[in-house]
Amino acid sequence: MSAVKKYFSDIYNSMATVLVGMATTGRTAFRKPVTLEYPDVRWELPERYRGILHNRIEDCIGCLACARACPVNCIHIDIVKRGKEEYGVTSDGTKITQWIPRFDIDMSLCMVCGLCTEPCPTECLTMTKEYELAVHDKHDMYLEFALDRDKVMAEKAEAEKKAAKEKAAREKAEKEAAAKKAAAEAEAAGKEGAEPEKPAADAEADGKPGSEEKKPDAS
Amino acid sequence: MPIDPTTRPGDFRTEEMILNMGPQHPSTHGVLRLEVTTDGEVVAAVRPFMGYLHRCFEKHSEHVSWTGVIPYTDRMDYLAAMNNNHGYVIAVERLLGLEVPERAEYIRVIMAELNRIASHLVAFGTFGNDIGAVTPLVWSFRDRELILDIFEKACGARLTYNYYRIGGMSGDLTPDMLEDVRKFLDYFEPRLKEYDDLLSYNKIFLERCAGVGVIPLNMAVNYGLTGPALRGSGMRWDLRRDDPYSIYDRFDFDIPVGEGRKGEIGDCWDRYMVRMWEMAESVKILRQCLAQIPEGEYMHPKTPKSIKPPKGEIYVRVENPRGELGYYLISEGKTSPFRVKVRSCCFTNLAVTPAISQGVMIADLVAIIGSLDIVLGEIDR
Amino acid sequence: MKEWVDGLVEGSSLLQSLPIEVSYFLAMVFFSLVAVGWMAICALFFVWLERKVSARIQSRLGPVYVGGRFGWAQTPADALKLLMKEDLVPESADRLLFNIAPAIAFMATLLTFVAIPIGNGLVIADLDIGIFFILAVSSLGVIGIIMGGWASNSKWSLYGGMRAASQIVSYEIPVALSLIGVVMIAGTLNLVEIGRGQAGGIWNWYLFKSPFLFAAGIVYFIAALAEVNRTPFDLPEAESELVSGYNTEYSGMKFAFFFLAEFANLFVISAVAVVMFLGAWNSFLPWQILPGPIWFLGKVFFLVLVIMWLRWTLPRLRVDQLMHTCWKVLIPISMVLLIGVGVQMWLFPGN
Ligand code: SF4
Ligand code: SF4
Repeated sequence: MSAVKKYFSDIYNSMATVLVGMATTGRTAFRKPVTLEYPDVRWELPERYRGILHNRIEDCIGCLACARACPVNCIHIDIVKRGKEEYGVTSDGTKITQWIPRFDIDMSLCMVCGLCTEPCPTECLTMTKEYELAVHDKHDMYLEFALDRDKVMAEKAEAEKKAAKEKAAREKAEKEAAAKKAAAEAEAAGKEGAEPEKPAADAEADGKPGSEEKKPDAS
Repeated sequence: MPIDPTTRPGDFRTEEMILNMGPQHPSTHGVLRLEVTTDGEVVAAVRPFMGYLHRCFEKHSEHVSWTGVIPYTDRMDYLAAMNNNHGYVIAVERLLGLEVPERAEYIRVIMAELNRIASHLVAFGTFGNDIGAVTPLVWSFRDRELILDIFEKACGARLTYNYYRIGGMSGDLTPDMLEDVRKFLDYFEPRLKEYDDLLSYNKIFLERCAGVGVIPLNMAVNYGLTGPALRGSGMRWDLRRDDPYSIYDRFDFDIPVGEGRKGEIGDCWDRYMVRMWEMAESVKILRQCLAQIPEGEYMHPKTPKSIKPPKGEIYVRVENPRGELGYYLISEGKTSPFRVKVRSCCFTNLAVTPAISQGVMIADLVAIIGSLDIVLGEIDR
Repeated sequence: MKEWVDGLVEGSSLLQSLPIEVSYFLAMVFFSLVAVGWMAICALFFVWLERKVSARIQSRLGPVYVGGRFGWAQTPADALKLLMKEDLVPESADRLLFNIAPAIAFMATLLTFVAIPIGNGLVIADLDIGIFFILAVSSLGVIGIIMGGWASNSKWSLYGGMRAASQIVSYEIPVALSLIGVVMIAGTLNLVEIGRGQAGGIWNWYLFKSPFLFAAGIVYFIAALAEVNRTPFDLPEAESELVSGYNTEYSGMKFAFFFLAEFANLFVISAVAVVMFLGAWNSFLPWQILPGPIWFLGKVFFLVLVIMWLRWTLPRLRVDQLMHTCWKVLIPISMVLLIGVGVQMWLFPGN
């Protein structure tokens, strides 16, 4: 008996629940659609929206905090020390002591996490509301922010430094040559000298030029 | 071919067919591959293969700062990124011995519970889609969108939130966001009834789910299932209540379990229904949160700039929408973790598939996978 | 058609000069083109309608751009796209079967269009065995589906084809049984005659003539849904299980044929339901206010709408449940209903 009952109650249930479902969908059909006609109509993006990155490079002091914070190392910054008389100021009054010949963000690596914008002391690195990230050429994803002025100045500074270094090296070499000569003379004279010191001094002179320039992306 | 006269027609040995379900298949929820041995429509054996989405999360974490790991946790279980963040920041904070401000805790719970609803909505929709009903999927995404709007306002992203920070949150919840949450809850509660009308109690749906893919309780425990998959089998186990983290001990909520109302305890319908009930419970928690949330800081003022937890190790587990997500961290006192290990809930949940899908039909296999609600991003990491 | 051609030949001296066979042939070509065009229009319109209905049910907008208002040109554009697509044949497929399968599925549907009257006498071929012809021809479509499933040499397609075979063949029976009741009461297989028999108000429609026929109408509706693979019986192409079922490997034009046939079938089953149960082209009042075809198409439109509404509401059955529904529910019920109609006719012979 119960099997028969189940048979008919199953039929009844199927019919009834189908009708309930249809009533639900039918009711929804007369509600307002929630979708937008996207490219024509766009929704308003909230204040904190995290889109593509942008750097107001004029305000960047080249502190490298953003590059250090980035988990995927997609911010590449080169900095070159400015001369004292060339110091600039940002719009919030912070001193700029570096030229920034290179400030690149590889958006194709970036995961738009926003961690880089948080430590920025001058708040110049921001996330825009630009969310249409697709480009035709992947090189277009490589954003370069550095100013031409900075590039030129950095080159100049670099060249100056190099010249200075070369000059220093030359002077040093001359001095050393002189010292060597003196030593040789001394050796010739007294058969005793401070030989181990000389190579060490040489190595230092070679190693120094690179230490001016920090490369955060090498980490 | 000579026919053995002793064979009866039913004894014909038919050939089994090996079917590759996935990695590109509409209902493997990502890039899971199932090697299904079938005998007609009946499944003889299933072997899941995964790893198509492996992104070296754990290894990668060893080379980024402690904060830098957070965006990576987003990408594990991308449907419940807030909950993933939550577990990780709790682990680091315990290593650091950092207390989080009250308000931040409330924001965390609000976000985690909203994300639980969002995640369960996707589970509901995709499960409906697996069973053949398309509308639940669109409805669930329609309503999930409102949650994502709130998230977008709070942290700026719709999927990979990166909202939690060690020591607090990256931003405060402004009053209008809280108002949004309230509005959402008011909108959402009647929708739950609609979902039930549309799908949960539909006779066809019941036929497809009730009594299918039954996981008995002892099997569920033996396989280490957690989350709705375990609760669907009738065990009242929820870390929010049984091992309270954050401020979950302050809220009053039930832990729904499968009762076998329509079929047997632990069938697909129970697992599905536990999720539906859990959404209602999350709504309850959220309402309490909104009533209780205090004013104050959203970030601990004494959070160190560069985070270097002292030497040590810690295991923290949190209740993700899909189960127990565990973080095992080892710190060597450096700026980046020495080891990050994640106990993935979907991985263990998926492992039960071969055991329960012998002798079911292909359509049931789809239902079983759907009811376990796996996210491949978390399984492969 | 014959009368029509004869009348035309009589009125035209040009046609009279030709042998009558040529006139018949020309008429045949003309009417097949009419049928194809009619079918294409139906299918394209239904695809568009389906999109709009599903969109509304899912709180979406549906197509809005193409063709200006309502996106009406969306489906023609899609059809064009399908026609222009590369015609892929899998390497290991059985080329011959693979190529003719969509044609067979298409032909089967097309043939049924010939026999469906959309108004009083407005039919291409006024067959005395109209309903029988439609049942016979429409079940040919399954051969195309099995063929396609088999020839693709893909496991998913094979499953789809096998499912389609068992499903469509099984559901033929309740469809036929539920229609026989009407045939018994109407006393004819001719669709035009059946339609004429329902003139004079809604109470003359066969659906409301007897409670048994009412139930038979519902049985027919359900079984017909299964016969054309609509949700909740869309197992042969269950996309969440079988990727896309029997047409997994099809693309471009051939896929378009399957697709067209599928949607044209919607028209066929609704039209049969309308002719058999819902008073064909007659209005629900005793007098005909609007022309017959408008009533007819309106009713068909309504039924198609219901079918779509169902599709976007319901989940899908499992194979064994599908068979259960057919053999253990629909067939017994339709048999009982048939007996009921017989008893009713015996008790009230005049009615
Ligand atoms: S948004 Fe994240 S990934 Fe992108 S540059 Fe900033 S820190 Fe790096
Ligand atoms: S943190 Fe800000 S100021 Fe510092 S280098 Fe980056 S963008 Fe420039």
